[in-house]
Amino acid sequence: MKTLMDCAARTGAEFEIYFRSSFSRSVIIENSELKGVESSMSSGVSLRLVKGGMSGVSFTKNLTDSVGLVENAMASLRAGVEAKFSFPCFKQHAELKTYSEKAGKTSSEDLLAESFRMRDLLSRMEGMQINSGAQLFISQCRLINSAGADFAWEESSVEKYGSIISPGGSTYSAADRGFELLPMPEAALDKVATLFDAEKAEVRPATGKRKILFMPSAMETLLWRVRSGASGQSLHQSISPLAGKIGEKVFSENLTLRNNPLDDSIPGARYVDDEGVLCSDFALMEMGVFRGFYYDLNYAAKIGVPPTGHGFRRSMWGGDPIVLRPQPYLSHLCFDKGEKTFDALLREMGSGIVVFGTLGDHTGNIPNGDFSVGLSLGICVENGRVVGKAKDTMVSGNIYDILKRVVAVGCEREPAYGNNPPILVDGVDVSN
Amino acid sequence: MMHGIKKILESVDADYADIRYEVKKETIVGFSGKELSRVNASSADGYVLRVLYKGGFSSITFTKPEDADRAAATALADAKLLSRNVKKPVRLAKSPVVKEHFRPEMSEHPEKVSLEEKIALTRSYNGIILENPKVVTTSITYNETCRDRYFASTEGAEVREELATLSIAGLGTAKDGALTQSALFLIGGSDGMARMRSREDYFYKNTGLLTDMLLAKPVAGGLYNVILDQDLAGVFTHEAFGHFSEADLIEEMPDLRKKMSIGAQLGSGVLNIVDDPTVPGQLGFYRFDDEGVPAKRVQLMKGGILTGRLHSRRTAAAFGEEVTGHSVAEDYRYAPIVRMGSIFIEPDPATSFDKLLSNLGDGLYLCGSKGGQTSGENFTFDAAWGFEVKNGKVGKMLRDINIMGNLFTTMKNIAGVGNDMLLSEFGGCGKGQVNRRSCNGGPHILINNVVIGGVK
Repeated sequence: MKTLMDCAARTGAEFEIYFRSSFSRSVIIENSELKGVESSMSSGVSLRLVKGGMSGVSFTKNLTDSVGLVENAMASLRAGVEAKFSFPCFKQHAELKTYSEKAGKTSSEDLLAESFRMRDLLSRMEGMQINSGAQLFISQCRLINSAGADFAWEESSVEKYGSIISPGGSTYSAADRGFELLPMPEAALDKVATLFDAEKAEVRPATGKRKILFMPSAMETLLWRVRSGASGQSLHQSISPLAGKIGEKVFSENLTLRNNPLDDSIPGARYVDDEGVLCSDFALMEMGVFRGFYYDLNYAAKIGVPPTGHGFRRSMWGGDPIVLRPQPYLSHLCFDKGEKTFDALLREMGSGIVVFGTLGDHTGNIPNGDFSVGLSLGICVENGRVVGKAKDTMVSGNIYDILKRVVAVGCEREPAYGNNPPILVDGVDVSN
Repeated sequence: MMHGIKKILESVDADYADIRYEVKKETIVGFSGKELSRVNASSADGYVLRVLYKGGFSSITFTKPEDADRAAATALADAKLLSRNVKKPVRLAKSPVVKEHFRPEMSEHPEKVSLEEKIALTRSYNGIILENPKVVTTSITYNETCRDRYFASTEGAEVREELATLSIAGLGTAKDGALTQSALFLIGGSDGMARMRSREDYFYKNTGLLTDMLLAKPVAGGLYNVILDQDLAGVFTHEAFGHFSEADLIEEMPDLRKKMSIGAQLGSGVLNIVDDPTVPGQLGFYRFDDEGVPAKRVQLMKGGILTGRLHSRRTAAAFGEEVTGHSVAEDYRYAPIVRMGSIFIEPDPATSFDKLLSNLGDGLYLCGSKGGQTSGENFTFDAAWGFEVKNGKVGKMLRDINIMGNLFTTMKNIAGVGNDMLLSEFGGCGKGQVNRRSCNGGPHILINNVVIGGVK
């Protein structure tokens, strides 16, 4: 690392070095039988240079040639990509829980035992396909820049799931996420089995404008469009419907939406973003009022505002952080919880559809806020009671329209889906 | 390098092992509006080791050569764990043991073209889109991915294959008042740089569409008879049918596996479907998959009857069928899984587009893909734009069109197949890993009773 820093410094450019080493291990059970055990060990270094108002990037998986890595970044810099920013030097930061020592000692046997346990608990659904699995992630990151910043952090997480697959292929899942391997609560698996039992009948729901309860597992339909609209990149590109609306009420007063990487109640908390800017509890919408755009260094400089600590090496499609460059991203986006239990939300709904899973979140006119998604799993509700599974059904709308009509927000947040609660919305178009 | 990876294999005391080492070179040039927003030319590499021990089949990926011993020990331990716990021991179907270095013919290898020229070419196409005064921004990226793969197995296979995939792709976004509309721009392929040049007509045509889309009305949701253009027919074939042809996807889904029995009448009699990675020049072309198995043309459906499926060596043995060479990984970060190569509905020489329109009568003509997804028997995909059709005549333009359906119902509702075959230039299947070379296409097709999402 020292050699690379020396090589980068000799160019006379500002530099940023991002190092990441990771290990993952997963166990997969399909149709009640052990299907696979897979592992991955990966590391890499990504370099950014800024000089003369231009930036250059390069990366490698094996740092054997520091000079070559710097030359690649200089070649990229000479191509003429504008950079109006400088790398920052923040020092003070919050202490967060991001890692558990126990995670580092988790073996394939441990993951297998938990996967078998979840399978066995679900196996009371005789004749059904049961899938389960668990995956361990451990990573170490370090971020250094020429301004003097030097941050290092470790992360661990264990994700697990237990699913019942219907004969038509619909997936009824319980998912959980923690810093280390803990047993999936039996109650969560019981809930899946109960839901599956209640939905054996298939029904075609009435079409037209209906009440829809978006469950946390389907929240990405809405959040994807919020990420697009509130991004400093969209503002810079003149495609954000939220341009000029800071301080205006754009959603129902029932909705507060925040991105809080400091929340270390679930894995993935961060005190700095991937550019060394301090993270904060960032409110995008407070009681329906739009509070502001989120930025990385690049787009903040283009707009002429301070960065907000949202420069992450992430994309909507995942990807390798070493390969990706930082861009504006909301890593911990979730709605504040409300007061209604799931059963109370069903009673409040009266008649409508509970959406557990969607198909096609990534399609449609996302910058405009439009969505039109098929239901991979939706249940029909009449008079507050589940009557069956929605057959061949699509729901459509625009978030800047439908989220003005939020009837209620649930109180049960799901860690596996970013701690989001269920949200009940009126007037969503249903087709079939 | 082949010697180095064979050395790693020697340290694995198992029934079978294979290893793939891969160097992946990527060149990316991005424009955001008028601005050059990204230029990057980098190389990364890594290893994928797979171990079969007494019916337990594990895999591990690693990037540092010095981790090879630890990786081999971990993979062997995991294979032993699997062997103690699996009810159905894994077997690998027989495959020819190949020793070959393959480099496909290319019309102008991209590595011989300068970075400056790639920037200039991308800039020129991006500039065409920006000429439209309604366009507020673009996001256009040149992407060049060169994979140099070395594969060795304890059976003696030694395969090296070098593939290059190119694209200039992205979005142009136009705005009129509060309404924004985006059009996709996708050119590319795997046969060299020549096909990327002189494509101005394509960019002008799609840029013109953006203006029309701002004037188009949103589609009304409901049930329609529709004609899909070649692009959408390809996405339909990929999303609705193709994924269930992948043996690993249905292997542990008893109900679907039963429905997808060879010999089952699944579609209407007009339907013939093929997956063929071996046709040179098309996006999905390759000679060997990531298990070193030669790729084969597979007739998946004939006259609506299921006649074949796509396999890895493991799934071929599990189904008692022959290997097809369809086990493909995104890159050095992944073990291979079963993937489509180039899937399409075969054209019907007797049916013109006009005849399909006439047969449709009233309905919709849907064009241009914006992606899709599948879950269980259900699929969805997005049309970039469409038109009303009345009495067989194409009428007003429509926008915001999403389609949903059930595979088995929809296959039987295909009422006509045109004669105008076309294959895609751009792939992007995301089944666990991204497959940029996933190619699809076909002729225009007529489907009855399709659910379209939208406002009432």
